[in-house]
Amino acid sequence: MTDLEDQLEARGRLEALLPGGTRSAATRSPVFDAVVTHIEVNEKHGVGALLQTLFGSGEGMAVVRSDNHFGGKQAFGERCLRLIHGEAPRPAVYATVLRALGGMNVRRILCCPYYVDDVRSAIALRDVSGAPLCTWIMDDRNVCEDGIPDELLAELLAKSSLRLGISPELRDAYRAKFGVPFWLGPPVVPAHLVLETVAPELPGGEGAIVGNIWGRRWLDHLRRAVRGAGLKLDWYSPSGFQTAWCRYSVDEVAADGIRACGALEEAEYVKRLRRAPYVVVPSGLLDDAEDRRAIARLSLPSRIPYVLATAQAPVIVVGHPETAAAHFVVRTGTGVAVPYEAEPLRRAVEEVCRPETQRAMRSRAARLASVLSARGAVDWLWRSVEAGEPVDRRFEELVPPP
Amino acid sequence: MRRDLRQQQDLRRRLDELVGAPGPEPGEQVVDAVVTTNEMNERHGTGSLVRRVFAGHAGILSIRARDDYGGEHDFGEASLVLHHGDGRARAFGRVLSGVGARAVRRALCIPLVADDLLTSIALKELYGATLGVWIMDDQNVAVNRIPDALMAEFLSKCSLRLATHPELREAYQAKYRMPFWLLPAVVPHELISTELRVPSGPRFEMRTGAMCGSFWSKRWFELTCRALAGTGYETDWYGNHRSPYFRFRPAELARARVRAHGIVPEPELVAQLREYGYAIVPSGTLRAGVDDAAATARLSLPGRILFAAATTHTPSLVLGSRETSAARFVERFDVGLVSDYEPDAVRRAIDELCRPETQLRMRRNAAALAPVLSAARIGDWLLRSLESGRPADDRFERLWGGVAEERNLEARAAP
Repeated sequence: MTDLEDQLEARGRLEALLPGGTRSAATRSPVFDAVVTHIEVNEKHGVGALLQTLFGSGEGMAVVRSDNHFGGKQAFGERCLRLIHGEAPRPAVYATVLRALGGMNVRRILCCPYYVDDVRSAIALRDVSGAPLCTWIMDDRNVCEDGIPDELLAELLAKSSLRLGISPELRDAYRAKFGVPFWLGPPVVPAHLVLETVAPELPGGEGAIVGNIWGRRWLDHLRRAVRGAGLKLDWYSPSGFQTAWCRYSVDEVAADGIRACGALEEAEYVKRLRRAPYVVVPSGLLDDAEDRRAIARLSLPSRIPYVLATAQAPVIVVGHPETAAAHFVVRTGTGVAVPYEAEPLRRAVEEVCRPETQRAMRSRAARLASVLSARGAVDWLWRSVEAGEPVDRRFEELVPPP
Repeated sequence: MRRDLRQQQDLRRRLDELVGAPGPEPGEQVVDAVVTTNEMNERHGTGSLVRRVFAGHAGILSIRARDDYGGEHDFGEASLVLHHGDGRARAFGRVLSGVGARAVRRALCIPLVADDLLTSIALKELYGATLGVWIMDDQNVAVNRIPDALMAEFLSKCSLRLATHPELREAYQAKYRMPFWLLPAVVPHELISTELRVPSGPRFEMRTGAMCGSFWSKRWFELTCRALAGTGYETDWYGNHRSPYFRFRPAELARARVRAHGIVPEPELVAQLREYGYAIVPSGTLRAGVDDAAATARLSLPGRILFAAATTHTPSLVLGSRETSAARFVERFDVGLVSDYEPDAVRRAIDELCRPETQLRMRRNAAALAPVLSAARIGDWLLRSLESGRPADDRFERLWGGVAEERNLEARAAP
């Protein structure tokens, strides 16, 4: 017997020693659905929040990640594997995946690729298991931004039974570049938080800024625009009092009219969103100095569907009108897009606070809400993977074409 | 409950870290892999052919799924026996361990069982090997011993797909909608003859037949013995009469006047074949419920027909249906006759084959085929074709296509 076979068998024996008396039926099951993602699955970032929304605690799931951004904190999945391949040759990647799998059977695979290692793990996992694979692109790391080489990503996409892009822009860009069918898979929202009836308009009160801010310049421009417009905004950001990309002073931003509230418990967060007459979502400038071009141009921030589905608040996207965020709110009629300038921002706030605008935008948001609900989304996902295409057009019809 | 789950997750995480270390790095030895079902030796047609094609090639790693000939194997610089049957992940692990520090540059699969396909898929995915398939016997279209999904995946990963003859190619092309090319069972170059010579010795005068190769069905053997017993002619059998799959009773052979000589080396076989007026090729009746190897017969072309035609120009007598690939070949190239298994019909066919003008015509046709069927440098041809994803030249496409075109011309010229 070879080393690898020895190890696989040893692993089986070790697993047999794990306490089994209190394990659920699913825990005892040798068959797992696998999720391959770049970092810890938790509520601190959009991809993690979305995966938790879809799969809850991840029971019956094996989670493969490539890196730690949050100290390894992850309360998701029954099996958690961190696989680092680095410059390892291809056979070594497969050996690593095989060792990690042990005797585990994989039924289906969902990959949300960001790092090269995510892609290598997903390809190997798919090959050794033969399980159908869904690739769901949530952040661009190939078309506008370097990160994953063409050849590797093409292989992943070719081996995928279903390919989803989180926004129409991502879907279209990848479809055009790789010449394979892509479909829209937007971020969905926990079903119990979705408001399916039209909420009353809120013409007055203070608006909110939602979500992490992905660039230093975005934050600087936002502060200037908010100060100039004379607005007072509460800022709710899941990663707390810093973004993933820059630290800031709570007092300094407060002086500009932005009250940093950090991360709130979800119930409290939704309560506050439902009291907000509008929300502000900072996006990219798409100018020569833009350092988050791929995110801005192609990614749909999950907070926008979240706000629309849970609170129906009109959304003001600040930044360039060609960002994916701006396209989404304008095409769905649920918000407006303005540049990082005080006067346009002030006028936009006035406009979305008009009672008739409030009614119209909230009513459109309510129509989107049921589609954006996570209820049935996992079933839709796996049935679509099995079918090799979406089983219905609920998401394809979500955003009208330009 | 929740705490228990967390504790278990922690345990598992530690376990994962313990066993999830990066795997070994491959070394520098680059090989070409040839994947077959069983041992490569002279005791069966595929063994002879594969050895012939890759004769003199260095750096061949031979991988087979099982031993059917007591482990008698003489092919490749190194060989592995990788039997799977316990899941795909295990198959990948087994290939990884077996190949070890080698890097596989190209892989050619000659599939008969699912294990061959799994091994080949693993070679392709693990090493990025350029993968090719050479189908000699059907195990999926007319029969379904290899699952469709596995076959479809395997074929889609192949850069080059070859079949030994048109019927097989067309069946796979039609089912899988992927291009296939022809590579027939080629013949040792040094044994090929273009010189026309009709035998005149006692074996020819007595109308004794030669029978070469193996039986694919016990039923065919029984039919053959019954037919030959009724002809009054004798037969010399040069082939594996100690098959791993069937037992041939000496009394049965004796009643049919069949003398079993066993497997003889190819040069000696050629020397023997020169003395006969015809070679007997048992095949299927294709009768539903009666022929237990009908699917094999319909889509398989025995290499011994090509061997006899190219080396000694000996006409073949195919026993069975005219719809088998063997029957179609001899009729298409006019290098033999087809008869059912009725003794009278077999006798009439033998008499016809031994007429001087039939001998001359068929031997002339066979001599014309012979150079194309040469195995000279065919291994290079195959590997070059594999690299480019299409045949290095169209010699085999022209072989069949040219005849078809001539037939069409003849048909148009007919009154």
